[in-house]
Amino acid sequence: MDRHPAPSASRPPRVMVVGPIFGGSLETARSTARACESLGAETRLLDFDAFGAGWHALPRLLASDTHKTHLQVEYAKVLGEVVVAAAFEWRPDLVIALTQAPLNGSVCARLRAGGLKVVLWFVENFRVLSYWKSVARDYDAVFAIQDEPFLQMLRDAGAPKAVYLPTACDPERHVPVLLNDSEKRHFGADVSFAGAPYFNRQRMLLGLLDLHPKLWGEGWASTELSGLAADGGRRFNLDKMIRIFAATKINLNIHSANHVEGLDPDPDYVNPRTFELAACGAFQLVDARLPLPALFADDEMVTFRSIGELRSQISHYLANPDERAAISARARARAFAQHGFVHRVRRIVEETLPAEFHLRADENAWTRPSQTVRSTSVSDAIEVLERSSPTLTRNEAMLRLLKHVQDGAL
Amino acid sequence: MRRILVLQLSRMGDILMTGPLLRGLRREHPSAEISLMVMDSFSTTPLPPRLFDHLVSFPLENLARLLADQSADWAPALAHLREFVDGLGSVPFDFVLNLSHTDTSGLIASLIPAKRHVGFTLRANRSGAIDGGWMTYVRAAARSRELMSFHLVDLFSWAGGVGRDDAGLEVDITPADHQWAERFLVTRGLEGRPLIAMMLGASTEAKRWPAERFAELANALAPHLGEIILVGGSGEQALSSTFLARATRRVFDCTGAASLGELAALLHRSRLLVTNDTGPMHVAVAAGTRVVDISSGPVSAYETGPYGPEHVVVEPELACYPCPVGSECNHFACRSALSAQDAAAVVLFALGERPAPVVTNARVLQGRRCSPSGRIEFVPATGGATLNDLIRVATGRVWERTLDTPVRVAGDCVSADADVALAGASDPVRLAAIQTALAEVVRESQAAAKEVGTLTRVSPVKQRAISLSVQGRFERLLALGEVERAVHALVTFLRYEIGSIDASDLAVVARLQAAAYEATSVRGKLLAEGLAG
Repeated sequence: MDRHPAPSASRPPRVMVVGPIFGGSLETARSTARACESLGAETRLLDFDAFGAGWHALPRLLASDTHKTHLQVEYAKVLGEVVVAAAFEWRPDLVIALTQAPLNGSVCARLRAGGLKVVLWFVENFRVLSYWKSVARDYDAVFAIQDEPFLQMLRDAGAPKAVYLPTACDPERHVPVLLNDSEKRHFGADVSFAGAPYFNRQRMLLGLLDLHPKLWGEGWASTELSGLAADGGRRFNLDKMIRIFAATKINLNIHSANHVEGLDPDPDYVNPRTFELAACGAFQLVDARLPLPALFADDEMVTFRSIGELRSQISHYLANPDERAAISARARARAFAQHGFVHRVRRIVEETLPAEFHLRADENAWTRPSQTVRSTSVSDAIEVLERSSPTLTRNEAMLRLLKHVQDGAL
Repeated sequence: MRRILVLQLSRMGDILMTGPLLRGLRREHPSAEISLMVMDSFSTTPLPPRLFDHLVSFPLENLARLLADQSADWAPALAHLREFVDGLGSVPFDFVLNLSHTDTSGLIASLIPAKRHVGFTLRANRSGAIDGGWMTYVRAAARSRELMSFHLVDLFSWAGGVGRDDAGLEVDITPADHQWAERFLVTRGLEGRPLIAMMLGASTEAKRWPAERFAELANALAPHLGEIILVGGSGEQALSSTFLARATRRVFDCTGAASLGELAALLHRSRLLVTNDTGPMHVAVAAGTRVVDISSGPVSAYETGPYGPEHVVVEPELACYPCPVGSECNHFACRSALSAQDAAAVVLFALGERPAPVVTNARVLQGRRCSPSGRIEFVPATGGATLNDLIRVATGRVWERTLDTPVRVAGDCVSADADVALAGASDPVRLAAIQTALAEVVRESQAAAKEVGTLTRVSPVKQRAISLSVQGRFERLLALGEVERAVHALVTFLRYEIGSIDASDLAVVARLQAAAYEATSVRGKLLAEGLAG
């Protein structure tokens, strides 16, 4: 009677999501954890964001490259021990590691020896980041955003199981935004590109100079296209990103490739931006990718194969706003229905855990497009006040307090 | 000082633990007007009214209702909040002390103009900051609470700059409360009978020793020791039913029947309260009744246990106890660590009927007042001490020596050297690891202090290099805290100190940073010596 009830035959799994020390997968890890929670899994996110500064600070203390590399490896090992300790304190059924999470062979071996399932979701291009070769064998399964032949390469590298799993959108965060007049002026454009200035993107965009696209993101100010860099070439955060998408008539989505003049010659994965733009209800023109037809129907996504085709599409869709709206609405519905992180998490659980672990069937929060962000929400008002004053005002403090009350975060 | 405001925005137990601070403020500043702010759900505070002049209720429930009713329009809630803040007056308080460390309490504190703030607040640059050494300690030690060296009662008093007296906690019991208790006992034929009260509930399941065990405990106690009374609010009635179904002796169920003052009056007439860590536990302490506190889950008696040397605590002997902050438990093993038979032996010990027992899967602790400050700490009443006991005592002495600790104004103390109970605490492997970490802390913080000290004497290019180097040391120190829990509070304290520096002048920042690193190095050294000794 006084014992905690034993787990029933069918129950939601306990899932621990492990993020990287830094990099783009940090946000992916957070979205994955949120999806696990929304599916009813008991979830814990090991977020190592705070340790990124330490990682970057280490080399600054040393002169020798050997020392730098060695100590960064040691640093990652310490964080790997944190993963082990946290896992044995909390006893998850499943550990989902995102690309560059600090799990090495020893960490995986101990977790697996303790009866935990450990999987890697490799959300990077395998040609750019090649460490998968040495770690594939350490996991129970590797999920990858590239299909065959990469999956076979993973199996050849020792992965007991390799599964194709594209990236996704986070419908709680990737939402359409209603903009006020000053935001429309600041973010508005016929054509925009938001992302890093990879070499192939620079070359492609040089062909659009006469259309005066706005280029958002860090680094553009020091390229040949500096004249088009928006916001002084500063980094943008999620809040800004969804405003850029909302204020732009045509969002360009060009997959990155270094040392290539034009489009990525190996178009075998779809970047997260494709799903994010779709979830935001924003219109996009994306370079053609092999997996896209299986993810979006022809009337949901417009693709281009050359700069000439891109130019004529821009011209057509600028002149046809209704067509743009219809295409983006269909893409949005598709993204919510099939390409949320919940769908990816469900696949991971189904592929990895026995059938007695079940996730919540109701995916309402994710399958139904969430409400458009209201310009008049407490959060929006806080943001406006934050922008208008360099210091905390009494009104802002009071609104922040109301936000805490509203969120029940007391 | 003329106007003092204390923010205590936590639960009823924390409000009771604030009593000695308010009494001390009254003593030290007899002409000051003292206000106490609590959440509106605790506005019928159990504290004696003489301890403060004004009770201010933060209108949390009203604000939540306004926001829920009109979620699209927050203007009415904002107007209500503005009215509340304006009602506090435009003249700055001389001293505002925030005893909570939630972001919400920091925002409230930031809205109140004051000549001096202590505790968590939000600065003009929107960053959180903690003023005052002891409140910084409270926040810094929260994540390694299994090594917490101080009781909140002492920490609250010291944060307010007042020394310990001998009066302990206080609760307001009116003549009407006493009459109610008398009537309750007379009508049940209990007048003059010894009473043992039991409180079955707690705020969360993890903190609750099972009601069935309480019943078995009651069955095991000889009737002459006392009649059993179940106390608590209406929330405890389901637990009472479980208890009564198992009880094989006479039991009087008082759950949901008494106000806070009436509960205090009833506990005042009891020999003993057997309880989990709850608000009524502190009520019993304040009413002068001895307590047996059965701890489990996230509770750390060292921080919130029954405040006084006469009380007894039982804590589970499990590696995962107390639950780490933010963790979720799926086994609740600690709840069943203590058997009813062992609990009965502990009750007999608390009643003075037998010596301290050795119990299975758990430890029996007893409070003691320690010199020089007179603070309360808990040590094993029987059985061997652990390395954590030694760390707690050693770190306690270090913080007491290196922070601004007010002198006690009354009360006898155990000499700090009389650590017979801790003799034999050892774990050479772990101790060596801690000493290594401490040596690292000392080395890095000394080096950082030295480097920061040169900042104002070098060129801007060199300044940049030094800043990067110090930043690296700082991050290394934080990493050490994550790896070795015995140094976690030490480096987290440094982190908050550095983060709370509110200056733009390089010379001032450098001086304050150097002092913070220097202090960390001194604490590291003292702790290493304490553990070696």
